[in-house]
Amino acid sequence: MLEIKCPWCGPRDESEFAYGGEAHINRPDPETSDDLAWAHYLYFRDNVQGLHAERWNHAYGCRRWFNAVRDTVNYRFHAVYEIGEDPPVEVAK
Amino acid sequence: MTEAETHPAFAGAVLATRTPGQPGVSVAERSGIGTINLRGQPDNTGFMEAAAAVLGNALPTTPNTVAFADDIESLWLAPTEWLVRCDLDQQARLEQELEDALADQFTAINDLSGYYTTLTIIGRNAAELLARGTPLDVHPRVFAPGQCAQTVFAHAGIILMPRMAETSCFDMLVRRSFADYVWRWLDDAMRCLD
Ligand SMILES: [Zn+2]
Repeated sequence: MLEIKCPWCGPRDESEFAYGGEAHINRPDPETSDDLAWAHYLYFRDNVQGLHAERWNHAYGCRRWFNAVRDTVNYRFHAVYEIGEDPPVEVAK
Repeated sequence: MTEAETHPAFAGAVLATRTPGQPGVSVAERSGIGTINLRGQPDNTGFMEAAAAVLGNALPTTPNTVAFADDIESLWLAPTEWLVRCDLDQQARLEQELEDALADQFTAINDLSGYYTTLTIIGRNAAELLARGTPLDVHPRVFAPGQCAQTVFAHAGIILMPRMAETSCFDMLVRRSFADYVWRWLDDAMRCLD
């Protein structure tokens, strides 16, 4: 079981959290984008091996969304940071 | 308001460990508590000052802490959300005072008295009993009166609040629709403590 550090509540058990998928996915402008851009926005994710920027929700706690950088190889969390901020460590591409 | 009174499944009942002469642990519903959910921005001084004037104490801004004033407890739930608890017969007056004082503020005030019920878990083995259902560290070294936490207990979302320093005692706020389930779960878990 993972221990995840909520930016507000501190370290809590994984069972209190909900995973929210890859972070930093920007919605394209529907007026100017094409089908390919929408397809990438909706369905395409990076699936990296290594440090992955992702969203988590402290679902059973303060219910806030936040971002985290987690190593997809060994599940180790390298950083948590607020929504709207850039990853504080370099993530895999 | 009748929904905010005792839960029909265990009204008046007390769960207790069965070993005679052991302090053990007991569980009973604490009814008659009014609950108000209050939302606002902590950096809005107008909101914070008006709320403090009604509640008799500043809303806590440190995560997972409680501010006390007379018969009112204000629990931090999230950066923009608090749970105000008071006597049930004071709830309507307090809610109206908050609505009046915060009329010009960006806020939300909701009566949740019928939403939660409170189970009081008291006795030497209280923390041990809780630890069977929650991943939260409830040891008094890290979870003491003045703190509160929202967490999970046997898959049910709860709010936990240590109450007394000298005796191991916790208030567990549980959604009314989960209360019967949690009560049975506690009953079962207590059988293994003796
Ligand atoms: Zn949290």
